[in-house]
Amino acid sequence: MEGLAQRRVFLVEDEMLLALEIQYVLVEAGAQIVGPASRLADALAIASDPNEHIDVAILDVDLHGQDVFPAADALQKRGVPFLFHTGHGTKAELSRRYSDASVCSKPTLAADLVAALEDLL
Amino acid sequence: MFVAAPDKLRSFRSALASWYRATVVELRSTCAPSRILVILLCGVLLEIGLALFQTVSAERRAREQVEVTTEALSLLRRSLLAGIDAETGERGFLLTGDPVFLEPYEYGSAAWLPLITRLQVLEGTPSLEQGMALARLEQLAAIKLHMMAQTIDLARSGNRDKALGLLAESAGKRAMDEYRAISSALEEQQAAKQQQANDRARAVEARAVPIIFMLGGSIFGLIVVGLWLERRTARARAAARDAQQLREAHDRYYLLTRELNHRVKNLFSVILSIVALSGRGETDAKRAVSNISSRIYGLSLAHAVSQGQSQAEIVQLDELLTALLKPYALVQGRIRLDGEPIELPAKCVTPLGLIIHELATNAVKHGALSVDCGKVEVRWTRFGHGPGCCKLELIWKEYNGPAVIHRSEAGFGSTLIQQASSQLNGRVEREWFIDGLYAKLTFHLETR
Repeated sequence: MEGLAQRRVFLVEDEMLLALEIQYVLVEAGAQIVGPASRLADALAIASDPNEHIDVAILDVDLHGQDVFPAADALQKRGVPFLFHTGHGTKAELSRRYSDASVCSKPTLAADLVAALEDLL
Repeated sequence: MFVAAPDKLRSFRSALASWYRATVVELRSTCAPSRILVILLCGVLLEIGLALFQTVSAERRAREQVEVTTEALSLLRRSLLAGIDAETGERGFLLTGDPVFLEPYEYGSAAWLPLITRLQVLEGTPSLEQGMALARLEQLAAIKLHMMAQTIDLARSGNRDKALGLLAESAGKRAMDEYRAISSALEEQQAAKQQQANDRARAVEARAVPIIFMLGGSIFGLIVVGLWLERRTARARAAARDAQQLREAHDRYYLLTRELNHRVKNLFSVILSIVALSGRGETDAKRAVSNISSRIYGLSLAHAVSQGQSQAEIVQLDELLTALLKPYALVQGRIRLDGEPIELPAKCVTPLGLIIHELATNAVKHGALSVDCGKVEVRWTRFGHGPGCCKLELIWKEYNGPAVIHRSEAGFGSTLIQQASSQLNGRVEREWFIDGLYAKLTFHLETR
């Protein structure tokens, strides 16, 4: 397997245009999409479902005013690598809380996002 | 008891030390100028009170002395007069034998000794010298009275010559002279006492007056200092309040900047996505560019509405629609808006803006707005009121459009509409009738 091919990527994003674009790019890269989830409740349900196989995840931090962290914690517990895709200036805080996670500040080009995901695998 | 004494001393010392800590050290450590001022003021008032009390009591003593002296002088004179009256009566009776003269004699001799007794009572506890003088007066009066009684008895019994002989012995005159001398000495003593009391009162007054003036001056000074301190405190408080306001303004500014930064970043992401998505599957570069700029323009119109709000979190639905549809045919009256005032959360602006923009551009390209007589009606209704959620139904209905030949269910515009409505946590149903599109957008509004 090369890069994201055949990988199951969990997408959490509340801005639908972004979600749409990222989905296109991920599908082009050969990945399968899990989600996308735009609300914390959905994200948390998918992240903590053991039957839902996830290889890697992209997490938007602010979901309609709620922080994505419960879902991130669930993924961390399962050992699933993830990256934060955020417009908030909280890179330092995120790195402190989740030392293994990488952080992409919005706006990031979709191609760079894919490259960052491949680095996590 | 002797053994217990060192313990007592120790406990007294420790009590003293704790008092010192509690008052003096505490005072010094807090060192509030106003507290020191109050203590000073109390001291000054105490001092004034003391000075006034001293003056008043000295003056009272002087006044009492005046009363005693006046009474004593009066008694001294009256007793002397009583003696003289008695003597005058005695002489008159001896010389004339007229019993009329016995009247002043009787009167004077009866009053004399009681007056001296009153004098002794008035003096209370006299000095030794004074006591002796008074006793001597009494003694002399008694001698004189006895002698006068003797002469009068002799005269009454016819021995007038013998009586005159007794008088000529001049023992009575000597007693009377001594009496006068002692009486006038006592008078002088009383006057001297009065003088002393007056002098004392004057001296205390002379000492008190400058003290009172000085202390009055210091009270005035302290009041001035107190007022100054009060003003300074008020100024400091005002400064603190200003500082607090400045800090709050700064915090607000910081929050606003952060929020703005966040929104700008998000908007750039959205714009990048619009560009990327609009370019996708579009082979004609001109059309792609036109789509991209029209979508970004629509987005900018939608966001312009959210900027104008005093509360940045709320957008009026009719204002949003008016802004979005202005570039199309709203001004010519070809698009009609109808519905009650609705407040939308600002996060609805992007998805709703994109949906309306897609519907409007499609209508202009292929739908009712592509022909002259075509019209569009946008109608919305709210279901459910009160706190929590209520449902909003927005209907886009085209009239007098061309016969529909182009049903774009699968294009990017369609995907955009579906995705946008799911971002709104709602859904879109579309139907194509003979004279145009009927679209119904239903989504939940979170009301506060």
